Amino acid sequence: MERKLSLNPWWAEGEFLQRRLTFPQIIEAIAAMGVDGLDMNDIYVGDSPNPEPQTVRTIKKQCAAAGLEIMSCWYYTDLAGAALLYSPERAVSHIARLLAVTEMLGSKYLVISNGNLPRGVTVEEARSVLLKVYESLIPLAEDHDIAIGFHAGRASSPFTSPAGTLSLVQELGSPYLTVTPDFEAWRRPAPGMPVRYTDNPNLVQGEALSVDVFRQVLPHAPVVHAKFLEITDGDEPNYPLDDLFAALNDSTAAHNICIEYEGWIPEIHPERDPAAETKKCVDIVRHRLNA
Amino acid sequence: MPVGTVNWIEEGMLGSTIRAVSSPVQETAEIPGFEFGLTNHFFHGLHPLGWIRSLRVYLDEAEIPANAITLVIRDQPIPVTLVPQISDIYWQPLETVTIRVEGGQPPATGAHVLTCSLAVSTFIFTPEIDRADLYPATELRLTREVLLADDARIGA
Repeated sequence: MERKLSLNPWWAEGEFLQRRLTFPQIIEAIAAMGVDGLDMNDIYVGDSPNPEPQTVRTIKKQCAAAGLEIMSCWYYTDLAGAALLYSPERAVSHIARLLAVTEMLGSKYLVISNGNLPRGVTVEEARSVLLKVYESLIPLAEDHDIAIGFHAGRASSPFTSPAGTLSLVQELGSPYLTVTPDFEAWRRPAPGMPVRYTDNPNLVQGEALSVDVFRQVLPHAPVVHAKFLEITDGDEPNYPLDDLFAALNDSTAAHNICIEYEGWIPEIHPERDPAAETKKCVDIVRHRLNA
Repeated sequence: MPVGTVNWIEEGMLGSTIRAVSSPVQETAEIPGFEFGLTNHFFHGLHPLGWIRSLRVYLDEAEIPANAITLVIRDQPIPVTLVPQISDIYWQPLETVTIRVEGGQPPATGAHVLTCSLAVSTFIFTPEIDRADLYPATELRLTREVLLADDARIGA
């Protein structure tokens, strides 16, 4: 089955924030790494509260000129929280906005997060509201012909774990509602590596999930998030890459592999060159997909 | 959102200088009047101002009363006590806002220790904000030595 490789510009966000790289330079760097496309992150599109049409047009042109497909658009959302704090309709209206931006950028996938529970809300209450939101998203996604991927990067969490996300998606059974599994959910705890998450300070990393769960979500995962934290001797020691890529190679579904190097953050390896490390990640994925 | 506990690049967020300002308001007569730049270096840092749940300022370890602090974004001054309620003015990545302390007397020229503490929400569904603080906030405390130059006065 078809496998496309894309790079998430997240690897360069530290460089961008320190004004060492502009977004056009990031696009050029990604193109030089020999991938099929890039995954657009929210900060480069801009919101105020909507992106400037000219910005969207410029990004689209720059990517096309670099020979890169915009594989997916990523927005970090708290869908459950928005529906509970405001209303399901309001949450849906914002996702409709993101679908429109994704369509304008010419991408076929929008990746968002179900988010975490606000204080005082039970999992059952939140699940019920989320399903209502999902129901409303299906016709919108169909209209835009854009599949929504719900990011699943936590080993244990009601709505951001692969199992939790898969359970919601399967309940509705639409091909437009999908799971975006993140290798992070399969990360093995290791000394010196972060055990917490910036989006959910109350969550502590648990045991890595079984790769069987990865195999279960793959039929629902047109976008797979291959996250890497550190490359040592040409490999990434924190994830069970042999098993994850064996599952990917066995999968009969089409997958875009969104590669992301996150080791540049202050708590891991800020001293390393993120571009060089990212290229190593691309090489690892390419090698393992061909193996 | 990334692993870990740090959601920002600290270097360069606080400017290295402050400028003196003076306010004629009687209530602030004892407060040092100054302003400084604060740049958005947050990861995925594209949010309305209300994403900031609190902002505190200290000069030489003395906390400035919140009602004397104003955040100025694109020439719009917003009392910092109202910032947590702002849902449709966005602080863009790399954008520098001015934090102004409406004090009655300028600090002495020379070196000072400036601290700016921000609590940012972990509710990240832009453009909505967590008005009731139902999600935990992450605190960032920035401290650096800053310089008030002789001629760094508004209107100088």
